[in-house]
Formats: sequence, structure tokens, C-alpha cells
Amino acid sequence: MSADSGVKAVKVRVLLVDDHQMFRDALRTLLERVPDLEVVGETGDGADALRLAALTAPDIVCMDIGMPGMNGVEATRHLMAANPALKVIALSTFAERLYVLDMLAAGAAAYVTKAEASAELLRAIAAVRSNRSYLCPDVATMIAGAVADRGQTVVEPARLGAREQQVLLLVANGHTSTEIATRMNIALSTVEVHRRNIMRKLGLHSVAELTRYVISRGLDRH
Amino acid sequence: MENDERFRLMFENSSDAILLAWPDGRIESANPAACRLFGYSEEGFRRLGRAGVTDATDPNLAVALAARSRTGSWRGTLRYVRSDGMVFPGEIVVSDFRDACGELRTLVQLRDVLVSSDQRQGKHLLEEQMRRLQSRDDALAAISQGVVITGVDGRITYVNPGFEAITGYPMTEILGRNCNFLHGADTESETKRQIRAALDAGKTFHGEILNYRQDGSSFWNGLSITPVCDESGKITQFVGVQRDITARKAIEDQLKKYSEEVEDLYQNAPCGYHSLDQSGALVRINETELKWLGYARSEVLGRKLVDFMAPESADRFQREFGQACETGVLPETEMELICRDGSWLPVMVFSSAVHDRDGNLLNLRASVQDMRGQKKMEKDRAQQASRLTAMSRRLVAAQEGIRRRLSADLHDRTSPNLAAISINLGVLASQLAVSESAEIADCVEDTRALIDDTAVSIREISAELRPPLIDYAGLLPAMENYAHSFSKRTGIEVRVACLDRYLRLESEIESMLFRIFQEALTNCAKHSKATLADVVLEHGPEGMALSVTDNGKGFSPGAPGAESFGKGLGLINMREMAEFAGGRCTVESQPGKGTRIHVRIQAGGRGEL
Repeated sequence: MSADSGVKAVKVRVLLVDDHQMFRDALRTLLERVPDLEVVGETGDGADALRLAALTAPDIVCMDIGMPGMNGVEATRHLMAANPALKVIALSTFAERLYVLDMLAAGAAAYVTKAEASAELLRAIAAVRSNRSYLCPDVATMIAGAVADRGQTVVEPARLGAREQQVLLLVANGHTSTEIATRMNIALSTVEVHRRNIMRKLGLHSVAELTRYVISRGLDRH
Repeated sequence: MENDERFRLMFENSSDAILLAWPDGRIESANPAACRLFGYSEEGFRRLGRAGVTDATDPNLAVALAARSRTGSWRGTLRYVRSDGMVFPGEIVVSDFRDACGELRTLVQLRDVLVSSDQRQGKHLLEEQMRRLQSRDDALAAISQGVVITGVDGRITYVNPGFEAITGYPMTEILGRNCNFLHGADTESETKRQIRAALDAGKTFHGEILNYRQDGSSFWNGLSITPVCDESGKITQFVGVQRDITARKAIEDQLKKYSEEVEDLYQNAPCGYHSLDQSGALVRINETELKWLGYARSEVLGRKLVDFMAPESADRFQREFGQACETGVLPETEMELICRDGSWLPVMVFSSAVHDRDGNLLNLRASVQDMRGQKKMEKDRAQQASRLTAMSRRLVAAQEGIRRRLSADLHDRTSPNLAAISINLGVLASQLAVSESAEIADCVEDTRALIDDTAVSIREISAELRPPLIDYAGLLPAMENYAHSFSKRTGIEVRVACLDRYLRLESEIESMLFRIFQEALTNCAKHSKATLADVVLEHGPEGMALSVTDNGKGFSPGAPGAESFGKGLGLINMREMAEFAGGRCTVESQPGKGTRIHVRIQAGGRGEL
């Protein structure tokens, strides 16, 4: 079987491997809303994943890393050895370089952090279905920083949500957090949360860097 | 002439020697007693004169002559020389008188004061003497010693005033009584027995006896009793001479008590005492030290002290003793003595040399302190210290266990929960977008932002509790990973070196080393202005060593500036973290020479996790 066969009747088969039941349930809900995806099995154990993969012949495996018994890296290595055409999407709490590199080395085609799971996982699935690799923005930022000197991002920064873009513009136009809270009719603490998320997603560390970013993008002229 | 005749009779028959002479020293006549006393004939006296019979060296002679020529008489004692050359003291009464022709003449009456002399008709003189005693001779009456004379039956026939003074009994009350009225409650019956035995045997008794005065008070009597015999050897009387020796006795007793106290102090002091001769042999040792060692005195005296030492102590002592004999100085020495039962006695020995006047070493005196108590205290202290160490290590281990569990809980439950909630909200949001309720959509997005931020903070807390990379990949990769992001953040290049990539240690030690490494880099970034930090992790037979060395500006440890280096308690934290886990952390730094933080800890590796 293949992911890009183009035959609409054939759904893409997905296997979920994660030791956290509630998270698996959330993933299943998310994936089953996509018309041409089918969750063919789920397990919380690396070793059991090998058995299930042999049994259900998935196209894509969503693979957690930290699991009791056989961990995700090892399971991926085994799965890829058994079926090099398989697409493994790493789905982890961690964004540290070492996990990412280990997973990619084991043969994973994509890496998505759980925090960004909902939209990013769908993007990752779309990417691997077209035989492309995919890293979610958090990870991409980190990897890019590792490659480049002094952490200057060279890749397209993370996608900001609509609310985050709103906050970013207001910040760039010189509004204080209190003003932004009033304007957007949200709590001050929520504004602070948005600001932190923006800076993290863009790989920035200070308001000065944030302002520079806004100017360089011409966002302040809106 | 009646007077002349009377004088002639007295002259011829007197028991005293009488010389008729001239003031210039010529002797005219000597009576028979004088001839007997001196062993000269009357003619001999005439020939010799005064100079021939007196001792010319007697200083009293000039005194006597001067007194006589001034007053016409003299009474006293002069030394005389007999025909056999023997010198004897003579009591004399000299008086000048004018004879019928009106010429100045001298009469000398002379008596030998020596009492017993076998050369002079012992019996006759003794009787004379006794008579004199009996008749309360002036001399006897005058002496301060008490004199008592009894018959063979023990009844008192005479006491002198000295006796009366000492005992308080007037003679009139005690004549005819037995002397035992002097005895009292505390008079030793053994002494009484000795007196009885001596007198029964006809021997002289000398001794001391506790007697009682008439007023009931007691006194120590220095008593001599001599039996007096008649010519047939039969005892007729006893003469007792007594002295009150209470005062002397008291001093003697005090001296004795004092010396006993000194001896008791020496023998039973709470420390040992001994003396060694030049060969190192024991010449004196006190009871205390003997008791410690369990030996009898006879078993140790004369033997060398080294014979009683543990081998190591003996070697050192031999060397030091040799030096001590030369220099007279033996340092205070700790040694171990071997007791009779084989047990070892740790002691501290303080020695001092005793020299004679010429500076020769006589012996080495030492006081010896029992160190068992101190040794036990040291041992207890060491045990306590090791218990504390063990306890702090357990605490560190327990703390690490809690950190790991918390970290795992956050990671295994909380984070995925948040992720799941976020996904669910995403699903909800996409449906809301369809229903075009913008207000609710905004709210959902804000909520997801909150969840994102919470997830990040939980990840940070979890990493702070126990960096997950240590468990996932090991200490070195975790350090490398941290160093990488640290460099990115601060611009300080960090090189991490370790020979063994796959080194695994006890989890709390990994944690401790990682935290110190983090703290060291944090300090480096905050204070050092360094551009490079070298991290070396080494695993040797003595344990683990971690060093973090930077090329920054350094500081003076201990100087006031060092305080600022330790802001955030960095240095103290590192040291305490290391010590709690059973290791040591040292900081070396000099202004302009960078800083090096070094941690050493006993640590075994552990199996692959």
C-alpha cells in the first residue's frame, strides 16, 4: 500500500502509540474527523506496537517517545527495519535536540510536540503522505538555531494564531499589556500568556527583539 | 689547835679530792682522795703544780683564775689530766684564805663528775652516786627530764621535779606506788609488754609510750629504764628517765601523714607515673598504672618499658628515647601499651628528665594519661559523622526520588492531559468556526494559549526537578544538550569532554553533578565575562571528578568581592550539594586567571538503565 496512491476509497491507516489513554482518545477524536484517515489501532507500549503494526499494517504510526518498556526510539527503529515504507510521526512532550535527532536517526519522518499536536499533527500527516519530512515550528526553530550561529532563525517562524497576531500588532504599535487587555476584553494575565507564547514561537527573548521583528516584517505599518 | 685538827680530819677523810695550794699554782699538799683520783703521790702534785694537772686548752681555766683573783673564790667545772693521761671534767670549789702567817693560800675541792667509771672502784662510786640521787642531788633536781627511781618491786622511791612537772603528780602522792598509774586507755599494751619483758630480763628499755598526766591529758613519753645492780649483780633498783616527746611526736606524725599522703597521691593518682633509668628499664611505677596494665609491681620493675609496648609504639619510642637520653627532652608521646590480658591501652606520656648536679641523666620521670576515653570519644564522633554522612546521603537520595516521581507525574500525566485538552479545544474551535461565532472562537483560542503556556511551564518545572535527558540518554548527553542551549543563549562557548560517553552513575549523583554543572555555568554567565568554559567529566578509581573551568575575570576567594560571585548562593549551593551527596566541591580562582570549580565524589557506576 502507499500513501499517495490517489485512490480516494482507500483510507490512510493510522496506528496510535502512546502510554497516555486520555491523549490517545483526544488524538482519535481529532483524526477521525479527517475524512480519509482511519485509526486502525492504539497501544501504550513500544513492544505491543510492533505486534499491532504487523497485525494492522498501518501507513502512519504516531509514536510517543517516553514509554515504559520499549521506548519510542527503539520501537521506531524496529518498525522501520520491518517496513522501510512506513511513516512514523514522533509525538513527544519533549522538544530537546537529542530526542529529535534520535527519532530522525531511527527513521521517523516527522516530529511534532504534543503541545502543538492538534493543527501540527494534521500538517505532519499531510506532509508525510506526500513523502516529505516535517518538523513542527517549535522543533524547527530549535533545530535551525542549532545549525545557525547564535540562534538567529533562518526558517519561517512558527505560525501565530489569530489572537496572537492581534496581540503582536498591538504590542508593536506601542500598546501596554493593560491597554491590550482592555481592548481585547481579556484578562491581563491572558495578554501576558499570549506575549510569552509569541516570543517562544518566534524564538525571541526580549521586547526589543520583538519590536525589531515587527519592524523588519513591516507589521508596524498596519 | 682545834681548827687545825678538824681541818686535818676532814682533809684526810674527805671523799672529795682536796688540794692545798698557793695562788701562783704551786701545790703544797694533796689529800688521799686526790691521790686516788689523779693517780699521783702528794710529792707528785708538789712537783707538777697546777699546770701539771689541768688541761691547758680548757678556756674555763683563765675564766676561773681571773674570777678567783678578783673575788677570792670560784665554783665550776675544769678539765683535769690524770697520771694515765686521761682528761676528765672536775667540779671544783676554789677559795682563797690567809694562813696563820697571814699569807694568801688557796684551797681546791674537786669532784669527778663522770658517774660510772670502772676504773674508779665502780661499786663504791655507784653507791655514792645512788646516795646522791637519793639525797636529791642538786643536779638531778635541776634537770628538766623526769627521773623516777623504783625498787625491784616497782614501788616508787624517788621522783625528781622534772617528773613532777611532766606528769603533774607531786612526789608526795606517788611515793610507794607502782608506775602503772601513768598508763591509760590508749596506752599500747604491746609497749607495756615490751617494758615488762626487758626489765624481767634485766635489760635496759628504750621506747615511746603514751602516758597520762594527773589531769587526764595524755603525752608521749620517751622512756629509758635502766636496772641498777649491786656488786653481786642482783638488781636493786630501776632508774627511769623520761622526756615529754609529744611535740616531737606530733611533728613526726604530721611528717609521716604528709609523706603517706604524698605516697598515696603518687600511687593512686588518676594518672599513671613511672620512672625509667638510662637503659629504659622501669625503676618505679605507681599503683594506678599497674592496675591499668594488670601486672604486679614485681613483674614490671627492672623490665624495659618497650617490652610492654605495641610494636609500632616501641619502634618510635626507641628512637625518641635515644634522643631523650642525649638532649633530656622527650616529646609528649602517644603510645599503646599492652596489658597483661593482651588488650591494648592507648596512652599519652609526658616525660621529664632528672639530672644530677653534673648534668648526667639519672632517670626519666613520666606521667601517663589513659586515652581510652578520648579514643572512644573520637571513635564515637567518627561514627556520628559517618552516620550523619549516611543520613545526608539518604536524604539526598530520598529527595532525588521525590523529584523524579514528581517529574515523572508531570510528564506522564499532567503534560499529556494538557495536550489532550488542547486537541479537544482545537476540535471544538474548528466546529465553532463553522457556526461563525467569532466571540466564542476567540475565547477558545485564548484558552488554548493558556494551555500552551501552562504546558511549557510544566515542562520547565519537570526539567528542573529532574532533567529528563539524564534518564533518557545519560549525564554526558544531558550536559551537552544543556551546554548547547546555554551557548546559544549566552554566546559563551562550552566544551564538554568525557572519555566514557555511556557512563551511568547512581541517579542522585548524576543529578548532583548536573546541577553543579548548571550552577557553575550560570555563575559563569552572570559574573565571569568569560568567552569559553571547559567542562571535564572524569571517572577514575577514586570516583567521579567534574571540573568547570572558564577563562573569565576570576575573583579572590575569601575577598569581599567573592560575595558577589556567590550571588544566588551559587558557591555555597554547589558546595552543599556536593557535601550532602558525600562529595567535595572546591573553587579555585584568581583575579584575571579565570575560575575553576572542581567536584570530587566517591561513586560507582551503575548498570544500564
